[in-house]
Amino acid sequence: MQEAIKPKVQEFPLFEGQQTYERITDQIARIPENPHPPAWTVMFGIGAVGTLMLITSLVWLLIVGLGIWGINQPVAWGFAIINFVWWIGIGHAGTLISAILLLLRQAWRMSINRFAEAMTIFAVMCAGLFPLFHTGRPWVAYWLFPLPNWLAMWPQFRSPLEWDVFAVSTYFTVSVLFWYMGLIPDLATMRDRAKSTLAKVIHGILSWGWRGSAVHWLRYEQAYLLLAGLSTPLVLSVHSIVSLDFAISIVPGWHVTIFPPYFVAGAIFSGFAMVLTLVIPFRILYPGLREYITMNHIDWMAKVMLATGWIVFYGYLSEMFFGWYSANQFEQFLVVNRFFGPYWLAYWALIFCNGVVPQLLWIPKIRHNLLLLFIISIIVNIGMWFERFVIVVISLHRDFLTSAWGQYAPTIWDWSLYLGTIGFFIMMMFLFARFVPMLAIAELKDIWHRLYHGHGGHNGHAGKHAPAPAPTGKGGES
Amino acid sequence: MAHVETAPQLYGIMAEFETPEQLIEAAERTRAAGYKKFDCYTPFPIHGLVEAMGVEEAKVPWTVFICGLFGAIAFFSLQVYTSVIDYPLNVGGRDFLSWPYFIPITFEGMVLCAAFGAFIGMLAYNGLPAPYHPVFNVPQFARASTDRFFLCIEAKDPNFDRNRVYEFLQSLNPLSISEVEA
Amino acid sequence: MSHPASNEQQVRERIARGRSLALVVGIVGLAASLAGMFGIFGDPKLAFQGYHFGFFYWLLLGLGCLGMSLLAHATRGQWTLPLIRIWESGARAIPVVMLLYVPVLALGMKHVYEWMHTEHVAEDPVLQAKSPFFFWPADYTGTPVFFLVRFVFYAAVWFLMANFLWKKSLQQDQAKDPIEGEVLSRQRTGPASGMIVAFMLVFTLAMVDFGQSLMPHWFSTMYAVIMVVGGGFLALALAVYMVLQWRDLPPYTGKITYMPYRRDWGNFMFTLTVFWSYVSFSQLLITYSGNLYEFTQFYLRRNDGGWQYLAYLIVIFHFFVPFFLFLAPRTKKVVPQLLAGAILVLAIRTVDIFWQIKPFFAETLSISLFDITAFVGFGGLWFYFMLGFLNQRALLPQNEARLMEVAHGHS
Repeated sequence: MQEAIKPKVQEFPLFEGQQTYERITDQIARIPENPHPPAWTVMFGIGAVGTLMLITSLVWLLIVGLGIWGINQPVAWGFAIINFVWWIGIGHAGTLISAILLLLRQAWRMSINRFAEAMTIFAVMCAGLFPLFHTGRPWVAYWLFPLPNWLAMWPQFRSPLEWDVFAVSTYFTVSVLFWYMGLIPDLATMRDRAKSTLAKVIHGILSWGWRGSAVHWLRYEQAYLLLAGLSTPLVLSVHSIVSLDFAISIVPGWHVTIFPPYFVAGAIFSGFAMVLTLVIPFRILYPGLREYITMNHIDWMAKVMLATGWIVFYGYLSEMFFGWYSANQFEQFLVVNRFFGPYWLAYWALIFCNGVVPQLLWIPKIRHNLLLLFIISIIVNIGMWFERFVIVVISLHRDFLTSAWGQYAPTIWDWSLYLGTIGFFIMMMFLFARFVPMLAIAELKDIWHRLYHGHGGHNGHAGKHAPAPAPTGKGGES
Repeated sequence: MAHVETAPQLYGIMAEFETPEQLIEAAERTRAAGYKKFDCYTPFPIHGLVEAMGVEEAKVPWTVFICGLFGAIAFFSLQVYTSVIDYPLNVGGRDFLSWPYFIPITFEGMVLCAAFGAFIGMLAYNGLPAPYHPVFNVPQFARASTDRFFLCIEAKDPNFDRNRVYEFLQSLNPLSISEVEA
Repeated sequence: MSHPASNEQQVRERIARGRSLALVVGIVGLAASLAGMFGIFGDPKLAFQGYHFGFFYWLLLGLGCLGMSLLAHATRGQWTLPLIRIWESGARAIPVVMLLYVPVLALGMKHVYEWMHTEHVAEDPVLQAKSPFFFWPADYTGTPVFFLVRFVFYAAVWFLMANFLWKKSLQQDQAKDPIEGEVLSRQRTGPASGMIVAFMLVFTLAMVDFGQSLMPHWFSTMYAVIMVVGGGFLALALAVYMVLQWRDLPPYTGKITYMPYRRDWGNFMFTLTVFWSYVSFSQLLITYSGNLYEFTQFYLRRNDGGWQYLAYLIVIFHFFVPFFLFLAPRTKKVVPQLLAGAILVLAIRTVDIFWQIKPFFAETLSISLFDITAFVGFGGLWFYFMLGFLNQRALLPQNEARLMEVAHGHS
C-alpha cells in the first residue's frame, strides 16, 4: 500500500548517493580536517584584501571624520544606512532557514542551516559596523546603553534608533547562541575524529564535553526548538525595528504603515538570494556538499525567493497606489519623483531587479539551472541594495521645502568601506568553511534516519534514489 | 581518593548497538528489567528513545518561560524607570508613559533573556561542561558521535550486579559489551 | 473509497439540519434589515450601516476561506487536509454575500460612504482628488461607476477562483486512483500560487473600497494585511471548530482529528495570534509616532467614546489570552481546550471586526438592532450555501495519498 501510492511525480531527493551515518559524518567532517583546495586560498585572499580595504577605510574615517563620506544635509544617512539595512537583511535568511523551517518541520532546511546561520552572523557583523561609525564618535558608543554616566542622561527609549541598538545586539547574541548550540554535537564528533592532541583538546573544550547522552539530547532538542521559536519572532522584530527607523518619522515614503512586514519580506528575499549566491559556488568548490545540498534545496530556495519577491513587489505597488490615493501633495510628488526624478535609474533598476527578473523563477527549468539561478541571485542582491538606496536617498533629497533640496553622491570612501565589508564577509565565510563542519552532521543523520529508516511514511522523497533498505514497517507521523 | 591504588572502580557496563531501532528496543527492555540508572548515547537525537527509557521532563521549557517573563518585565521596567520616573522627557507632547514606544525593547529583552535561559539552562541541567566522563574510557565510544549507539547500565543502580547485568546485556544482542572504568 | 457514504450519514444530517436553521435565521435577519432600510424601524441610516457591517464580516470570512484554500493548495500542507473542504465551500459562498449587498448599492450608498455626499466633497479638495477612484469616468456629482465596476469585478474574480479550486478538487475526488490524485494535487500548486498573488492585489483594492473609504481621508497600507490575516484566522477557527465538533462522527473520527493535526492547528492559531498582533501593533505604533491627523483620526475615534473598552477587550482576548492558550502544549492535547480556543477566536474576531467597522459610523460605543439582524442575516444565508456546498461533495479529499496514510492505521 505504502509503496503503491508513492507519487509518480519526478522530485529531487534530499540526499544524493549511497549514504550511511559514517559517510555523512566523513563527507562533512573531512572538509575542515583535510588540506584546503587551492581555490580556497584564492577566495580567502580576495576576502583578505577586502578586509584590509575595510580597515584602511575605517582608520581614515577615524582620523579625518565623517566628512570623507558623501553624506550631508539633507541626505545625512547615505551609504551607511543603506548598507546597514542591506547587510542586516541578508542576515535574516539564515535565521529564517534555521528557525522557521525547523518549526515548520521542513526537512530540507537541515543541510543548509549551519551555513546560513554563519552567513547571518557575519552579515550582522558587517551591518553593525555602519551605524556604529555613522555615529561619528564610536568610542562613546556605550552611551547607547542605559549606563549611568556623567551626562546624567538616559538613552532616548522613544527613539527607533535606540531600539535598533537593542534589536541588533540581541539578534547578534541570539544568532551566535543558536549557531553555537547547533555546533556542539558536531564539535564533539570532530573531537572524536581528531588525530592530533591539540585538535582534540580544542574541540573538547569547544564541545563542552558533549557525550550524546539521550537525556542530554532531550534537553538539547527542547532548548534548540525553543531557541528556534524565539528566533522566529526575533527576526521579524529586528527588521521591523529597522523599518521603524524610517516609518516612525513623517518623511514621505517613510511614514508607511506596511513597512514592518514589507521590510521583513525584503530581508528574507535578499537573504535567500545571498544564500544561493554562496551555495552555488561552494557546491563547486566542495563537491562532497552536493550529496546534501541537492537540487531539491536549491529549488525550494528559489521558490521562497519568488514568494518573498512578490511580497516586496506588492509593497512597491502598494506605495504607488496609496501615494496617489493619499491625495497628499508630498506623497504624490514622491511617487513622481521616484519615477522621473534625478534618481529614476535607481528606482527602475529596483523594479527590474526585484519585480521583473524574479518572475523567471516561475519556470521550473530556470529554477533548476544553476548558472541562471546564480545570475538571478546576484541581480536580486543588487536590486535589494537599490531598494534601500531608493528609500534612503530619494525620500531625503527632496524635503518638504524646496530650499532644503539637495543631491547625494557617494565618495570613494563610501565605496571602499562597502566593498571592504563584502571582502570581510567573504573572508569570514571561507574561514568558517575551513574550520567548522559546514553542514549540521547530527541533524543530517537524524533526518536521513527519519526519511529512510524507522518512519518510512509521509515524505515521498525516497523515490528511486533511496539508498535505504526496505522500510522497517514502523509507520509514523512526522 | 582511597581507591587510587586499587583496581579501577566500575562506572557501569556498556553495550554497543548498530542501529537506533535496536537501541530503542534495548532501552525498553532495560527499563522493563527494572534498571533505573542507565543512559543511552547516540550520535544524533533519536525520537522515541527517551520515551522508551521512561524519561519525561520539561525543566528547560519552564526555565525559558520564566526567563522570558523576567526579561520582558525587567526591560519594560527599565524604560519606565529611566524615561518616566528618573528623567521624564517630553517627546512631541506624548504621555510620559508612552507605552507603545516601550514595546520593541521589551520584546527584545524578553527574547534575549529567554535565549540565555535556553542555552545556559540546557548546559546546566546537563551538567556541562564536563571535560572528563567515564564513558570516554571505552575505546569503542569514539564512534558514539559517528555511527554507534550505546547503552550503559550504571553501577549506581540498586539492582546492579556485574554478572547479571552482563548476562542481561548479552541477551540484547549487542555488537560488543565493555566495562566502563570510573 | 475509504469513507463509505453510509458512515457519514450523521454528519450529513447535521449539516442538513444546520442548513434549514441557517436559512430561517438568515431570511428573518435579512427581512428585518430590509424593512429597516425602508424606515420601518426608525432611521434607515442605521439599517444600511448595520447592513454594511454584516456584509463586511461575512465577506471577510468568505475571503478568509478563499485565502486559506489557496494557501492549502499552493503549499500542500498536511494539516490543511481535514479542513480544506470547509474552506472551499465557504469560498464558494462569496458571490451570495456580494449579491446580498445590492440593496446598499441601489438604495443606500449615501448612508454608508461619506464620499457619496456631494456637498462634503464639493468643499474638500482631498476628497475631490480621490473621487476618480470611485466615480471615474463621471465626476463626484455623478454615479460611482468605477466603484460599481470594481464591485462586479471582485465578485467575478472571487467566484472564478473559488470555482477553479472547487473543480480541481472534484477532479481529484473522481480520479481513478491515489497516484493520479497525487499528480493532480501537485499540478494545482502552480496555479494556486499565482492566484495568491492575484487574490492579494484584488483584496487590497476591496479593502480600500469596503473598509478604508468609509473614512475617506484616512488610509493605511497595512490595512489589507491586517484584514487578510484576520480573515484567515476567522476561517481557520471556524473550520477547526466544525471539525472538532464532529470529532465523534465519521469521517472526522480518529486520525482526522488526532494529535498531530491538532498540534498543527493550534500552532497555526498561535502563529496567527502573534502575526495579527504584530501587524496591528505596527500600524498603531507608526500612526501614534507620526501623529498626523490624517492617520490618527482612525485611532482617535476608536480610543474614545466607549470604543476604548472594546480595544482593551481586544488586547486581552485577541493577544494575551490566546497567546498563552495556544502556546501551551496541553491545548493541543485536550480537545475541549482547543475547541474553546477556536470559540474564543471566533468571538473576539467578531468583536474586533465590529470595532474596526462600527466606529466609522458612530462616535460613541453603540450597537443597533440592525448590526445584529444584518449579522445573522448574512451569516444565515452564507451558512446555508456554504453547508450546501459542503454536503455536495465528499467531506474529505478523496484519492489523497497523504490522508490515506494517516487514516490507515500507522501509529
